[in-house]
Amino acid sequence: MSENVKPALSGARAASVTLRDVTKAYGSFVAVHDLSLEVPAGQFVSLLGPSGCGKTSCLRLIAGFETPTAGRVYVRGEDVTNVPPYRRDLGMVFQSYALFPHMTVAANVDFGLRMRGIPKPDRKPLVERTLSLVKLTPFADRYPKQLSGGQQQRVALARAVVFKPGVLLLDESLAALDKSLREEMQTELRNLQRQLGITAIFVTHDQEEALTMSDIVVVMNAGRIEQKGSPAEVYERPETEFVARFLGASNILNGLVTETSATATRIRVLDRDISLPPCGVAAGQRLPVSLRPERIGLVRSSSLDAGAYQVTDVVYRGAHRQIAISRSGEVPLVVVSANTSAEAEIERDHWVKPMFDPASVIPLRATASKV
Amino acid sequence: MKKPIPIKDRSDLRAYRQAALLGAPPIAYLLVFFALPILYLFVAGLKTPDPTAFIGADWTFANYTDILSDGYYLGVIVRTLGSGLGIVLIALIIGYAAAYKMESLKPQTRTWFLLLFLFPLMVSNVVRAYGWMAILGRTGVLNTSLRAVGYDGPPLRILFSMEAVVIGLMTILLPYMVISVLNALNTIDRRYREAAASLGASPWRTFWHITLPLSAPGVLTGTLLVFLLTLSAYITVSLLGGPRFKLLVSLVFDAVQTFQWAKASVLSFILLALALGVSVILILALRPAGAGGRSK
Repeated sequence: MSENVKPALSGARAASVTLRDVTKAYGSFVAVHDLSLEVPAGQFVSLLGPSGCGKTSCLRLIAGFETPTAGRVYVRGEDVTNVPPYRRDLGMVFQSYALFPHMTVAANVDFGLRMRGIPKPDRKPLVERTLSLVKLTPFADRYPKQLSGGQQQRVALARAVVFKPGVLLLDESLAALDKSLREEMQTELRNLQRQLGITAIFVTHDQEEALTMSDIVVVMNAGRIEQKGSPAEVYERPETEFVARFLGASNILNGLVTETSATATRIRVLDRDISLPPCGVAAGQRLPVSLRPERIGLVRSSSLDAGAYQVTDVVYRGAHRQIAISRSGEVPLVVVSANTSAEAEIERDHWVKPMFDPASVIPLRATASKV
Repeated sequence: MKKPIPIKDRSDLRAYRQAALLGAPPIAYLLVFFALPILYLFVAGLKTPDPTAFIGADWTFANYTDILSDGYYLGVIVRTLGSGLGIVLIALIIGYAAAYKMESLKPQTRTWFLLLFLFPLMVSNVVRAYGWMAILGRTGVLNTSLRAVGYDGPPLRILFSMEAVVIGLMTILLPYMVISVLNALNTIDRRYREAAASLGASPWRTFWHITLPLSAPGVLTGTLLVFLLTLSAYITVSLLGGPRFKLLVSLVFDAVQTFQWAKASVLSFILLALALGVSVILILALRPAGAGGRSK
């Protein structure tokens, strides 16, 4: 990305986006359930969740392709709930790119400028600069069908940002690319978003993608927000079982609450007593907790040790190994360890004991509550 | 950039041989029963007229020059071309609008509407034309109804006019246009329209810049079908146009009836030339621009 393109496109004013108590129902199916979300201007926000969780519906509500059954949508603080999509200040990249097949690359990129009534002499340099921004200058006169998937993706991106929208909406935009190209585009997209200072709302079902690219990750499930926070927050401190499971493999364990006080809840899990912040569960009851596989270390033990686990499976994964251990009558534990670590010598059927920092044990809410 | 011309390898040859094998029967059929008779007919037009023989004795261009210099025939040619293009235009506007509306309907509702459009085709041409005569005639349903509601001017003279022919042909031709355009509209990804809207195009501009150009293949098919069917429509034209509104087809029929073979041949070839000429112009004008990707 060369420096000389910056002045042309840096005029964009990033816009904030707000959904307030938005519900979207299709007949009896509620796709988005009384959802409120604040996207600050200039941030890269991912809506992450499994298919059918309402993330795409949210994006379509923001774009204006759908009208909410209830609630309001704001862009830049203005109520746009009843504003048609073509009067909203948004650029959108579709999953299938939706490049106009009867127009050249340059004409596709030019389209948004043309619809805004910008005179031709002013449009030409903008189109050229945007194409050079996405490294497609030599392809300006080609038709979309003559481009590779990655090139089409770049055209779609150029087309969506050329008119300096306040918000860029991305609907599973990288899903159609193969892995290495996708990773390359993740970096490029992120750089472009920073360079343009644009707000980006990115819909994805790929947790790695969401963690890599976002300032804020919004984890969605069944039309509701499960948790919202920085990538580190949602990964390290999942609030619900759903978030813990969806963001990477996790061990969900049932802790037994042994003692509660105004300042702490004590639980017993994996033979250890751990103190957690108070969480309103009475003594004697079960409290689900999350323990990330990479937070568990293993030490060799023997079958004579009453608390020892037996290794049931070892999967080699290149940089790390995934080790499953179990003990009679308990849910198996998954441990991920680097191949360079001391655990590298652990084999199937070995006896081991798990080690972990009590701070790695994260209490979970069973279900999503309304935020 | 020029790509090297691919060298035909074995699999290419095999493909050609297969294509030739599959194509041979229909090509032979067309050659014997269509191309040769057409050639024969063409020769008939270039011989001196002879009511006792299909092909006259001497070569001549007089048959062509006579007709093309006769004001009456020129008038019919212009009328044929004009009414054909007029009917195409009307069918295109009504048919496109109907197809556009139907495209947004639920598939089930759409099927019912399609059936409704196809219904006139289930009735024979002759029956349908007589039906229109009963409606449009001087003492037909239309005029008696007008009289019944208090209209006391002279009866409307719609029958035996261009209007009657247009009305009559429309019920036959509209389904072809609607189905062609509907098919084309159906294949346009909804995301194209959404993308246009997200780029700031109003519904009207989205239609103009995206939907209409992308439906060009359907418009082309529909337009060609309607135009060619109009040129060859005989029963509707002769029954509803009557003696006052004659088109080229009617003249061919009249010439054959009176054993003027040479004249019939010339008129047929003028008709064929019109059909070919307009088809080529339509195909060139509505060729989908780059829709299939322009391979250089």
